[in-house]
Amino acid sequence: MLRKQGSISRRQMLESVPHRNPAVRWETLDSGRWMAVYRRDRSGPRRWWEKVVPRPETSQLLLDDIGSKVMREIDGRKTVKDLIAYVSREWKLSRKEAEVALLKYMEMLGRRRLIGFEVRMQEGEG
Amino acid sequence: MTFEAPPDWELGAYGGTREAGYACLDDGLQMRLRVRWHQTTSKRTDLEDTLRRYGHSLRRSATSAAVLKRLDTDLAPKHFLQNKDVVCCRWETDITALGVLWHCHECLRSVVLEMMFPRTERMAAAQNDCMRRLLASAADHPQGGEVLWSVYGFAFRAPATYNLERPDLRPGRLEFPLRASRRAWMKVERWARAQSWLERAAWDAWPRERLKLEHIYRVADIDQEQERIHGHAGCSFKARCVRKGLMGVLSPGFELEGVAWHCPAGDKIFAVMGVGAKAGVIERIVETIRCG
Repeated sequence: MLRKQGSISRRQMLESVPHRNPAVRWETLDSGRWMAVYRRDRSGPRRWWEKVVPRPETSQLLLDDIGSKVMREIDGRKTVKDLIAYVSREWKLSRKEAEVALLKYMEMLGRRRLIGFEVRMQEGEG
Repeated sequence: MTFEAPPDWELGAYGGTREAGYACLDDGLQMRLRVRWHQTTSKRTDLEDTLRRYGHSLRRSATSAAVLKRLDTDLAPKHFLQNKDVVCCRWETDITALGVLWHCHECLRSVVLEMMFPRTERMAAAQNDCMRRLLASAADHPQGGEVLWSVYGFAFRAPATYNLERPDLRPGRLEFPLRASRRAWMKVERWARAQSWLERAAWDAWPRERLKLEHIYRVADIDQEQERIHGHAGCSFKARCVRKGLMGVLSPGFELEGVAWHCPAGDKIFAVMGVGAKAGVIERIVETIRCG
């Protein structure tokens, strides 16, 4: 039975803490850039498709300079709001520009399950 | 349309054209200001009807019942009321908002401006003061022959004869295409993360590299001169351009001129370039840009 996920408020989103997926291996290259190495998802229909078209067990994602610096800042303590402030400061962008760029980047990482978010409940919420 | 907003309110959403559109400013947590405009053709318009439809749309869209209350026009400064029909109102749902609807007899534009206040800012007097300050600086049409364009800390003034087309406001790259006529247009740009661009191509090559990004035309030839602009390394350039594809064969080329400079302190590159601009227009726009 499908269960609809509750949505979170903007405040909750900004105060959430991103965490790196511990199942992903993070390597730092000589250039300082980060590479994520993770096992491919082989569940569901993909399992059958890969019997026809075999693919490697692991996949790699090389982050660019900016992505690597942001990933370095994800330490399990800084909130999304802290990261927005970091991006704004580091690359001299306005708050809004930093927010749009960072959230888009984090959406990409989240879709690939490279990071997850710890959402803190606000006062009054069950 | 020009107005001054608190510095922590930034553009969150925008859309439309000069004829009809909207813009929303937020403070990082919630929307604080929404302005919608619509160009009409007559000096008089039925603001009462507009207010009625506005109240109806509020009740349709609000999650809790919206209570709309009409206010006196003393919410707006006296100079703002000149040459306009103005209606002020206030509505409450789970947030409070002040609304000002007006129709300008000079530019024939109808505007709905809403300022929202979170639960922590419930004092009516403070809310009214905030709205009064904004309206004191508001101008719904160009004044003095120039228009101020400003977003995300970047601002410039352009002649009022140039209308903004579809701006491209991506993080790190702000592009304002302006057009005065079919043959006279220009682009004013701000590129952030300049250092990362300059690692790929030296400053000397920037104008040519920038023009390579255009989809419609290509550069046949470019002349550039290095100069100091606002105390920074800059250049002025003239490029002979032709349209790509078959149109390039059928139509004559055109000359594009521009100015660009690199501000190391702000890690930004600024550029103003155009076709068919009158003498001095590009230089005048460059003068109005404050980098850093």
